[in-house]
Amino acid sequence: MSHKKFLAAFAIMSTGLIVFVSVIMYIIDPLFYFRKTNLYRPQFVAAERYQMPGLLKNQDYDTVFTATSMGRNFRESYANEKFGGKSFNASLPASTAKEQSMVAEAALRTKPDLKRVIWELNYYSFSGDPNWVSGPPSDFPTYMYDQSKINDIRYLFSSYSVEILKKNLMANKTGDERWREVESLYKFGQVAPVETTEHIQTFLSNVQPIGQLPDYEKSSTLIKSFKENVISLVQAHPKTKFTLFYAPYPIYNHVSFYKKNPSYLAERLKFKKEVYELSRKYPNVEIYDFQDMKEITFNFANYQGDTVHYYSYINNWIIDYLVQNKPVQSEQEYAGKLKNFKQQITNFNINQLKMESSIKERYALKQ
Amino acid sequence: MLFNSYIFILVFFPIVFAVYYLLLNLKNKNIAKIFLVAANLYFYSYWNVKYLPIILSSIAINFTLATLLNKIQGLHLKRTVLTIGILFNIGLLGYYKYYDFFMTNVNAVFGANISLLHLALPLAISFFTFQQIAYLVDTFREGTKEYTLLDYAFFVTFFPHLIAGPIVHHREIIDQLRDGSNYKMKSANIASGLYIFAIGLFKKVIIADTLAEWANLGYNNIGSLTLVDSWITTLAYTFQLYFDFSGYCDMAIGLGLFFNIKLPANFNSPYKSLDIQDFWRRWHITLGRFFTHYLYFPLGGNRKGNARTYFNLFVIMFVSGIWHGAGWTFVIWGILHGVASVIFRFWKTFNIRLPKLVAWFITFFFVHIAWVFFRSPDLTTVKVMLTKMFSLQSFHFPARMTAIINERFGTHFIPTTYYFDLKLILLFVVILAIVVFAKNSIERLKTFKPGYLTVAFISLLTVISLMYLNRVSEFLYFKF
Repeated sequence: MSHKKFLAAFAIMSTGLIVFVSVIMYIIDPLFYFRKTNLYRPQFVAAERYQMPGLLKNQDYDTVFTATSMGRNFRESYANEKFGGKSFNASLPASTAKEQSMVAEAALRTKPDLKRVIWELNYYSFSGDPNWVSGPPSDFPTYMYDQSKINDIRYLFSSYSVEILKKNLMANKTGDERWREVESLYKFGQVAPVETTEHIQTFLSNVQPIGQLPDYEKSSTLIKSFKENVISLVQAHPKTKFTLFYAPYPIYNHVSFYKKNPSYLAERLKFKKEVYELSRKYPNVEIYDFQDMKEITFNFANYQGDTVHYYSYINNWIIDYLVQNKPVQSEQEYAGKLKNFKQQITNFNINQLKMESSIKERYALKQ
Repeated sequence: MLFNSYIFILVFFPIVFAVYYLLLNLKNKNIAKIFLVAANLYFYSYWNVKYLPIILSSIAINFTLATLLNKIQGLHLKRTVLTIGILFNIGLLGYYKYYDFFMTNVNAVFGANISLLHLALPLAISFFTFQQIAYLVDTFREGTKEYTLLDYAFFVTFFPHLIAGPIVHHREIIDQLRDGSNYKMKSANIASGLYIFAIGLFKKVIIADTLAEWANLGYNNIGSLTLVDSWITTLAYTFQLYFDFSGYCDMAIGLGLFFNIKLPANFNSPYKSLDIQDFWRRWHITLGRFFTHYLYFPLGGNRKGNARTYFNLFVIMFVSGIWHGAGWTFVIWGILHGVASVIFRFWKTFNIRLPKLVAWFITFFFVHIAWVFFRSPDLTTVKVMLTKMFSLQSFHFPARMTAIINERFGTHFIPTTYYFDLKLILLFVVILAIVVFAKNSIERLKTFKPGYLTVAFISLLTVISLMYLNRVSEFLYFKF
């Protein structure tokens, strides 16, 4: 065999093998990306970012949630009951604005009649380049969210797809019934450590002040990403209602940033103000801001012991609030809320915190 | 960009390869060379464009100094220029790689508060610095008047060896650049290059990266390891390093061949070594060659008596340790190899031959233990890992065996679940057999003949590797 023939044979053989594997993977579709499978009972074991594109395509819904982990515990059945219609929660933990925007875009593309997008506005998500997506070890698979068909080869020809297929087949063989129900996927907090005042005190006393705020935390960076990721979709889909909300983080979480550097608060208030001013131009946008709602944010019984996340009943409470209350109605009203929020942080005293379980009990009874 | 990434394999390399050979059709071959140098610099800047001025100024200053050395007649002045050149290169390396380590220790010892630079280590600085020191020394010794700036820049930046070696001698590249027959496509070289690149890619992506998962798991969960687990962890790393480094070297050699440039072998089955001297002739061969020619010989080599020979041997191993990393774990790793080399040299004077198996076992065992220092992030980890490896307190029988022993002999051993699956031991036996008994890739390359079986073999290796490329990780030798 000549060297030239060797090279030609290599090209043919390796291309053939790649095509063969890809065709097999297209038929089996381990992440249920192209279609719902009839070949075997699905188990949704892949990481959220990889599992979500298929679910976005193949679930039945007219309302979609796009958020960070703060939105992960929205239960579709509860939302359906309260909102009417059908919802799908596509929240991704620690997701960036671009990722959330790609989720919303994928939903809008596959469901042209999508009525509502419920979108959590998280400072973290906007604190970077507008195109920022998460990197290794769990890279955001942009190729599964975009419109291009060509780059689907990265899904079809990937060791991860083989790994997931193997897990699925093993689950069916061993009768593993976990991760079968879409609604229960990725929900968390059932076994979270309980929050205590001692823990909050230690958390706040361990805050290390920083001299200067990084550029990516400034309102100019945040607002740039907001415009490119949120406003562009709002403009392109005037018939879809966009419900934007700021999640009720525990007040001590905001205080920790304030202690780190007071500019955090100033920049975030500026961001909120600008977001409101930009959004009010569009009739299909409404804003809810839960961050100054003292009955939630000062009650540490509502929070898991990680100084960040609330329990899942607060997600239900948010849904109820969206149903029962109007969004921010005027600039004046919002200015009042922001002022209130600022004072809560600057005048914070740990003795203001309370531990009171009435909301929890109310929602426990409902469930 | 990494050799084991889609961007390199599917975009950068095919474009550079195609454009280079297209440009070689022009009468002026320098245009193709200028393009390749530009591509090399792009490859280098892909990680961080901030590094680019460092390598560019290093090339410019070294070439200017060499031009001066070529022109100057007086020995004294030549020596001064050479000293300036070496100090510049060592200074650059010292500033970026060792300043913080040195100052941290000064602060600790003297209670000082000298601020640290916290500089990111410019990529490949350890490699291109050494190559250029060799170039200056050789210019001083024998002159390099015939070199052009373009050829020199090509030699320093040639992407197959740029990031992690081999540490190429300037003549090895420039002599090939001066050979006109290398400016045309040679299918034999491309086929050979493809063959060894595919083997290297598989070694890195499939074998080394899989072993890395176990090694990292073990080191990250060191508290949970039993004696057996600690050996599984450290063996995983010993083999990971082998396949990572040899895989990288294979890929570098393969890529060089695509451009008709033969890079020197850097790796020759080091775990087959029967003594520590043999190990260093097989592991990172070009680094050993550099130290021998530009440190060991100038220090007097073995020509100044036994004591001086031992000292010189120790020095090159010690410096090799520091070269690998600015940290005490690397310093001790270098000292261990230095002491082992001196002991072996002394042992050799008795002319006693150990049985091959014993000699192999002592060498492998020593190298393996020394890798614990090399891998551990700090000396505390070294201490914990070595204690786990050698303390019977960390030994537990597997759960099922404990039950049987307790029942039969009325003992009260506590059943323990091992951190790792013990089947891994079987896998390691297979890997050990491969690294000790199988022909290595350089030997295979020498006997490579195109055939259907070979093409099927490398197609399969390539396709499997491409499938696993999404487990992107850095080559271990990148940080050195």
